[in-house]
Amino acid sequence: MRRRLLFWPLSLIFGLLLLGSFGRPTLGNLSLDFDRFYQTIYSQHGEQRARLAVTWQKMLERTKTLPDQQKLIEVNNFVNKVVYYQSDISNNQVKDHWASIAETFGKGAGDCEDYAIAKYVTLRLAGVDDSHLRLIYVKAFYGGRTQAHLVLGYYPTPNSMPLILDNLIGEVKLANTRQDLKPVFSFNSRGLWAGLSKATKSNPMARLSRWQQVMSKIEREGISLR
Amino acid sequence: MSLVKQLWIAIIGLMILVFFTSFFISTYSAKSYYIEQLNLKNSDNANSLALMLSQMEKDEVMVELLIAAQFDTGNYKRIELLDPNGDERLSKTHEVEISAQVPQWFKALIPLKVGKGIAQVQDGWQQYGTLIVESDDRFAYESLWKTMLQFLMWFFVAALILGAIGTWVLRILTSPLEDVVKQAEAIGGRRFITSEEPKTLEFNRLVRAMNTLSARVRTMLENESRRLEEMRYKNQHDALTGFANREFFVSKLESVLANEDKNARNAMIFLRVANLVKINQSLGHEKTDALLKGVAEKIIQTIRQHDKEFDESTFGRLSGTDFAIMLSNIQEMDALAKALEVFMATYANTYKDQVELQLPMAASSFKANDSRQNIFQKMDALLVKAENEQQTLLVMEDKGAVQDGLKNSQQWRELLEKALDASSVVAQLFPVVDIKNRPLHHEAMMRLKVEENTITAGEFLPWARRFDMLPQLDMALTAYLLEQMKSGAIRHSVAVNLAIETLKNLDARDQLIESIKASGVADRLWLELPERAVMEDIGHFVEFCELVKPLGCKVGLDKAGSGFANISRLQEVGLDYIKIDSALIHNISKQDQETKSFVRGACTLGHSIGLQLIAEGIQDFQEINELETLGMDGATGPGVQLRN
Repeated sequence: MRRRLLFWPLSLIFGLLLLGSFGRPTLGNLSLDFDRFYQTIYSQHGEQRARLAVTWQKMLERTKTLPDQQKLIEVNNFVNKVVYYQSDISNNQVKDHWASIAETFGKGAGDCEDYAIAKYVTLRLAGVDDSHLRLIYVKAFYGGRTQAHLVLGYYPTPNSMPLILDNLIGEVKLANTRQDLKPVFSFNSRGLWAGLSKATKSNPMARLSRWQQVMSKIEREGISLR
Repeated sequence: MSLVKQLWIAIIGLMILVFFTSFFISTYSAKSYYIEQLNLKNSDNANSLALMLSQMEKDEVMVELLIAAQFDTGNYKRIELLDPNGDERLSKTHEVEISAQVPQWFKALIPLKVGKGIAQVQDGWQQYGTLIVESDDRFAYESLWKTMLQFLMWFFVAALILGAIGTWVLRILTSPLEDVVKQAEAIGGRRFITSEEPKTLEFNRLVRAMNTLSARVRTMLENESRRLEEMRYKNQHDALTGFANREFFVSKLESVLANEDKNARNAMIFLRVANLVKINQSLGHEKTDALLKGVAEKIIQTIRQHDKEFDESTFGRLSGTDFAIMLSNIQEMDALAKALEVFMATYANTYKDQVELQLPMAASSFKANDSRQNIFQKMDALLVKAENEQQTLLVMEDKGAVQDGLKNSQQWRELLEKALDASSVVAQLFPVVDIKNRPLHHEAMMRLKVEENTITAGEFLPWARRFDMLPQLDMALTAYLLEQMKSGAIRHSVAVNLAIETLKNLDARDQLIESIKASGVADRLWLELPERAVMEDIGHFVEFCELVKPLGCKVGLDKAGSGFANISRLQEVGLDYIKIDSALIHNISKQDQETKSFVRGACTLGHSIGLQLIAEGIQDFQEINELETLGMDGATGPGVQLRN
């Protein structure tokens, strides 16, 4: 009896150590530290905005079991519904600011890349593989004029036509039905983290691309997509 | 291990430590810098190439050209284009050979893990492929390697400079230490020297402490030797005149008679203060004492004026009325006796108004083969003869025999000069043993070999002294002995007696030292001088010791005993031994307690300053046991026979 009492805390410590080593974010490891995510929004934007995170998490739990096509629709609708379009200059007094999902939710507003990033992150967390997703720079004809725009594309197979998630048109549609968009360049997280050590990431002097910056920020806010 | 060596090891060790630390720090920062730069380059170039490919017509040739152009003009290891399924569509690789300048172990030690640049190429809405770009990392390795080599070189240079500076500083710091060590060694050799106090605090304290020790020991030695000397003097001398008392005078006579050199001529003069009782009655006790003192002073004065004519003088007061003078190795005594007669008569004359003072004297010569009883009887008879004359006069026995029957002064000069030219100065060796009868060395006695005849030192030395030829004779004898020692004819150590005249003649002295230095057998050479001569001229002796001691010679005094009060003054020169005068050693087992305790005290004092004490003139080897109990280290004399 006594021996088991002694054994119990030992095994607990050992187990914790084991858990600790597994719990660390490694490449290809998705994780959501919801408390941290919630706290980030709560501390900067107040409880009311933070409640959105709870709704978002519930939606995420619900969609996790759905097929990819359903996930796309759910996430697209959710993000389009909770985020109001606002150009970067009026929102952040900065031209072309890439906001993290916590920032976007916190403000409840964002421009095209903020939508795309929020949808991308949410879909990744919902279990969609990175190889299916691309952030695509497009030339958009909207309201009678052309403008630079960023959308999220979903490729069911590598060679297929992508489905486009966009804030201009709320519906998830095949790319070739979107006559208003013309693709220019696409990218995703592949290759983003390769060779990027933790030391480099935490080094304030390191030059990071805007994409890397926003992904790092998201990671700091509790979401790891590595 | 020397301090300098330890310093070098410390510096090298420290520099290695510093080198590795700073090398790893700098390499680590350089390495992460290179990795970052290569990452950025890979990623940027992949993206810009992918952007360009996305924009243009997907003509296979154009795509390949564009990739080839990028690959060939830039520094790349690999540029690869994969199709959307991940299969290879196009690949340009360049097997980078690691430059010979960078060894493989270095690459393994500092691996550069650079991420590939990955970018997506679009064909309209559709994916065209994935572009993978890897840069050539050779330059980074080369640069790191070069940096390390430079680092190594600079650290090597810095270590050398630091070491040199350290050595220099250490030398300056420890230069006072040399003196300290010298002093410590001197004290170890029981030479209690004092040295200058260095400026360095720690050394200063050390040297001051050692100086205090030296000074204390010296004071102690001085006190001890003074006490001994006082004891000896009181025991051996007449309190009034300072002349040797009867016992001591007899001992001195015995030691002269014990001389190996049976041909040496010695003189004995007796003087009697006639009617002393009467004088005492008419002058009173005090005035009589003054008169006796005057007689003694007059005697010394007169004899001193003739000190070139003999070797050693001993003044004795045999009884209340009788004075005695013994002169060893005298060549001729006519002039001296005459002078004494005149001076004494003059002195007696100064008392003519007060009292009738008569100083009859008797003089005779004797050789070492004579006996004490014989001499005393003869002298008494002569003195009675003189006394009968009732006036101050000197009666001399066989005048002619005192003077050399064969040669006059001119003949002696010629003989000595011839002997020096023909190198006929030779030596007769007498063994000197330690207390266990093991040989210490052999004492060399000077002889002249002239036409089959051997002339002993006692015969020619008085003449040589008169002609100032002692330095040449000493040099000739030393040269002869060194030659014999070098050739192997003499295998043991040899002691040479030198005259103080040789030390005063600087040319002769330097020549002598040169020949000793050149001989290569200096460590077997013992050099000794008579204590009496040394005490009269300590300066020359000290100078001589400073010159010969470094050669390895041993230096000592012989016929020692009366100069013990000054012996502590000689401890600084590193005296090795003293030979105690046979007058003290003679019949040691029958000597009185005071003489024994003097000898014992001399041994203790001598040992405390590192001296070896050797007894001279022992007649019977059995006496060596008595000498051992007194603390003597060795003995010489007729009683010493070497066992073969």
